[in-house]
Amino acid sequence: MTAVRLALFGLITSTLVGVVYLWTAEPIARAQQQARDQAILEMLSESDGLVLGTELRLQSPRLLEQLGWTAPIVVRTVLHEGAVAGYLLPIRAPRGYAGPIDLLLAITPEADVLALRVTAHRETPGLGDGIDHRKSDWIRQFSGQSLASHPLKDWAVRPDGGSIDAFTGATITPRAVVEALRRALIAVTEDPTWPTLLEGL
Amino acid sequence: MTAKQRLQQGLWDQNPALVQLLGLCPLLAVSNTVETATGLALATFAVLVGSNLSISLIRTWVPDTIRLPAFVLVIAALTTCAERLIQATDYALYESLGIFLPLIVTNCLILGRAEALARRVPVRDACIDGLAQGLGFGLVLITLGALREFIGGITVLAILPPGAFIGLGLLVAAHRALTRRVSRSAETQPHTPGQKRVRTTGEVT
Repeated sequence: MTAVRLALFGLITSTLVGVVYLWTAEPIARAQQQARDQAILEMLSESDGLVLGTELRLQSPRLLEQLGWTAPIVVRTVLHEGAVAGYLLPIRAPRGYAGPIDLLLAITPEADVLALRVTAHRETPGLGDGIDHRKSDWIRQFSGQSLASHPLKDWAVRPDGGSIDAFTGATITPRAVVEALRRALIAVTEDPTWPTLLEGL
Repeated sequence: MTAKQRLQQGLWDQNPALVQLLGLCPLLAVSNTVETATGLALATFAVLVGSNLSISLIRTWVPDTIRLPAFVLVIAALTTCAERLIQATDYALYESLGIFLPLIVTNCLILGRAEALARRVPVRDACIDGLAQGLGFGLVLITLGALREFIGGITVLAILPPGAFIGLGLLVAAHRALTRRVSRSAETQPHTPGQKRVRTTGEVT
């Protein structure tokens, strides 16, 4: 008898949660999308007059691999006065200290970096999380750079003989980010026709 | 106990944050600004009133053996609902509260009130108690948040974690000093030195 009552409790409470879940699902999805867009707009605010464009799909296995992905990704265009002024390329740094680090790279068709942001990471708070733009300005140093900004051997963190600062006590995290950025920059610089690989959704 | 007495218990005599010292983990963690403190205060208040209400409603119907699982189910369901509602209405607040929103489930204040009071008294009393205790907890949380944010403008220590401990300590001390002064002037409670630690949760029946 008590078991039945407990089961009944489970049923009532989970129904309540279910109703609230369904009821709030849409506003929450909207809020999440808004938060993502907000983050992108903040990132684009480093340059003037940029607005978000359409979503395109990237399926080329070779380019995907160079960006750190195994599955197709969505690339968003960035417009300036109606013309394509850049692309928002998701890239993944596979060798973070605590798993992969997901980044969003805003890049012009000429392969100049507009801005770079971390979108998801699990690096150590207080040490590796300096890559987050809300914690430190480290990631902003790449804005305006291109592959030609440093000699190729200098595209690495200082402990590896490069010219980019790492964090004290956390070299692995910035190394992973710099490696992923360098690989992506090499890929899009060597093949300037890469945007032709993009397909409409 | 009258409604007025219950209110006085929750807001002052048995204030959950200053006297019972319950729910300190979220209290200390989220009190760095007034905004987050207010958000958590409202969420905790809503869950506490809701849980006191529903547990009082079901009090004659729940056998003792499944009391705890049933209470936890109720509290967890209410917390999940509160979390979803905040996420839907104020996403920025939801993000700044982070893990402390779902952790309302483990706030011992809520299960404490359910166990000590709501399962023994009629709905009206349970609601008033939830209101009083939730208000008492929330007001301390917001006061601490305001205090830390204000002093944080002078020294950053107030915003950092130690500031939470020092700030709460000062509030507890102020509460005790005030209580002592009132009781001394009223001469109702002569102070006996070397008092043993008293039971502060629930009521001895």
